[in-house]
Amino acid sequence: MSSVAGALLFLKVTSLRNALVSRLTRLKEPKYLIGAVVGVLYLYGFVFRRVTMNPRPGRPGLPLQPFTPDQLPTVVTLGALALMIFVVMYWVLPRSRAALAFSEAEIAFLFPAPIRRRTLIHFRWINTQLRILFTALVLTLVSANWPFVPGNAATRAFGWWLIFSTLDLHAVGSSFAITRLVERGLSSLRRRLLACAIGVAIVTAAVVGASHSFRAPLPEELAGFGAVTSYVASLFSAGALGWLLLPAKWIVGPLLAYDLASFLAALGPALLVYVLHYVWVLRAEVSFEEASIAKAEKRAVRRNSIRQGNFRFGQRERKEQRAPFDLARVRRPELAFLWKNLLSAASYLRPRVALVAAAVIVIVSFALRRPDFEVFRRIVAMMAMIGAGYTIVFGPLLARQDLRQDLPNTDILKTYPLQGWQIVLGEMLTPIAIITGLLWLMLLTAALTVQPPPGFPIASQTFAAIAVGVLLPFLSAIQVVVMNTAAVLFPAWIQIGMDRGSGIDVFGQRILFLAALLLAMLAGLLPGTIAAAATFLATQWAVGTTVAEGLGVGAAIVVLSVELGLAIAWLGKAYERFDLSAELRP
Amino acid sequence: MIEVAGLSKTYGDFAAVRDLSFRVRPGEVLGLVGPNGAGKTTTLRCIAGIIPPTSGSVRIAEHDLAKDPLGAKRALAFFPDEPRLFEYLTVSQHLAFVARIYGVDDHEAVARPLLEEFEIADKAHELPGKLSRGMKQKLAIACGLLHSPKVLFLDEPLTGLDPLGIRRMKNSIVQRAHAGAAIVLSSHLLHLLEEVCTHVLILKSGVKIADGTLADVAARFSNGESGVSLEEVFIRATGGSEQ
Repeated sequence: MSSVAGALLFLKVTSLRNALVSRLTRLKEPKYLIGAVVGVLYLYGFVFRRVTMNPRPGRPGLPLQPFTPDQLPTVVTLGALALMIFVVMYWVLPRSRAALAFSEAEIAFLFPAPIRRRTLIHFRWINTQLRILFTALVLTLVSANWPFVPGNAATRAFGWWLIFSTLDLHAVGSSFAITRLVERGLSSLRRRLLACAIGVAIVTAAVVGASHSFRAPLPEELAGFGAVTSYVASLFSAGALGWLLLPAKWIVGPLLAYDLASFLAALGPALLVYVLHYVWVLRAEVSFEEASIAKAEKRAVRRNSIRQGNFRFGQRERKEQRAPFDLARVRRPELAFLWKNLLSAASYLRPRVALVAAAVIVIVSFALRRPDFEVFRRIVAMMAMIGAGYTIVFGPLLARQDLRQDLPNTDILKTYPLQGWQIVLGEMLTPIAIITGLLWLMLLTAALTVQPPPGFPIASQTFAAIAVGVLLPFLSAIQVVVMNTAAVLFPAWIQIGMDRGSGIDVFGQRILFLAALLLAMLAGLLPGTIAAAATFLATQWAVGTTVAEGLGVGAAIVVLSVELGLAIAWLGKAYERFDLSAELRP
Repeated sequence: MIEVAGLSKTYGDFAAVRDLSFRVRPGEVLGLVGPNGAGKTTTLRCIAGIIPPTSGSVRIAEHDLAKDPLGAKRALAFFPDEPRLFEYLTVSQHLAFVARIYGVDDHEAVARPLLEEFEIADKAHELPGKLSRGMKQKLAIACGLLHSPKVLFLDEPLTGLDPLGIRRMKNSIVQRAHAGAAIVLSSHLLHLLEEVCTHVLILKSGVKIADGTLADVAARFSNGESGVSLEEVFIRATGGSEQ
């Protein structure tokens, strides 16, 4: 082994070992140890055990039955067809210039170093192997019960590895080839048209060449999924089309081998295709350095962006947004935070857009009351209720325009002449407003389109809608308070503006954390619910159901308001004491 | 203007800053120097009210930072080494937001000369993503100066600035000190400290090694030699390396 190759191998092995040691060392901290235990238990219980256990007698199985050896050609052909779709995409879809995946540090150290191009390609190959091996391992476990992937764990693992490794080499090789074409003056559009034309020409020639075997399907060949797949496979198994698919069939052969003998028989041709790909990549004289640097920079920007809590990277470039309201007209600094954070939200999340949407909902809902639109009215009502459910569950997780987004700016926020509770309240106003606005729109839709049950007067329906509408901001506020409390108290446990972390311990932490959040939200809503129920039961006999319901809602609002006030005051104090550097100290 | 007494900051068993005391009067510029990990940034964060000290007291413009944090913060501005900007606010929106937080009326009249001073007036409608590192730094400085603070804390203020920006920054520091501001700046650039600082405080492992005017500190470590540079003083005082 040359000294360079040895150095590169040292780099990979040492990095891997240090990463592993680092992960194991942090298990000394209870939060990581508990996370690791939960993560392992979850993976074992919900993934490994499920995919490795034998189907129990009488257990409803997958719709596909295990295939027999005589069905092997059909399965192989279908697998090869799936593989060819990826291959075609590599050539047709827009691609950047030939670029190999290196980190910025690898580029800084390796590109100026006296290292041969071939060695760099090998180094990149080793890098991707780690990812491919992991993917192959996961798929080996996941595909354990797939009836169309026979063989044992070893053949499945090798089969998956071979497929992904070959596809990876093909991706690199095709990008090299495309870059060479571009360097010779072929535009991107022309290249894609050329690739399509070549593909169409090959398929046409193959179909014409195999016209004696190309025939329309018989009725029985269209009866069911199995019959259709057999017919399609038969078309691609004979004549020129069969030859066209041959390399892809060889690659999927080991994975779909029925037994050891067929696996060994499939191994030779598959490895031949793999080696040919390897030689193709190695011999391609294309400059990849410049594009690799650009790719590494892009990845670094994306990673930093994610670390800073910006998960919108890659979307359209931000533009200056119109202010959501006139900041000069508000005096409260908390509203300045609302103004600021609304600017970070999508431009359609604005009060005026909500008003327009409400008007549209009212008009459309009344139009849907015509008897001939009954079906559509029901669909709209159902969608509104489903949407409301999703917003309640996922809204607080997705609307993060609060401390979860701004915690990295703590150095600046804490120099503002504001009390902690003012910063906390101001930061939370935006997600509360967004979630409440969305829920109000869905509630309005549901109220106008849901058919009340017989005997349920329109007045009661209106009252119920208003009561729910009044309670929704408090519900949203409780959820957002819980999320922000978690961000301030456990910044290392959740995704805020810091490194997202990885590993089974972090995975386990996230599971624990989400469960705790759910419990905290339910606990937060409990006092208000009890107050509402107690008030209703205590007053119903005296003032009647409708008034008692109103009193119950009022009691809930009072309790939730007090609860929120106390929570925000407490969280404000916690934020004043918050020390990000201490929280994240290793 | 700035009075720090017995300031300590610990993280578990680790003491980042230990029993630090110093005073900066109006018109003085104190240079905070020390090897990497000496506790400079932690000190700045503690005295700017960003993180709570473990013990000790800090007074900013006659306001006790622990008892009257809002009064103290109205008088100060903190400039971190990396400009912390809101990625979705334009330059002018940043200034509008900060003006509202500090209650600066007619902020546009105050902001305009600042933007012109730092040469970013033509970027008023640009988002931070479109600005260079130096321009971001200038915007962060403009935001900090918007409320005319009496106390300035600067952490590595020249990072990312071009030569002209560096000169303007140095002039700005000196001008604001002449106007009566008390300034603490942390930097590894010893020539900057020699140019703009009236006083210097050397930290090592969270402990004050020396403080005083540049001449006092130089005299203490000059061993009787004349014309000893701050760099030489720093190396003699700290050993020149991380602890």
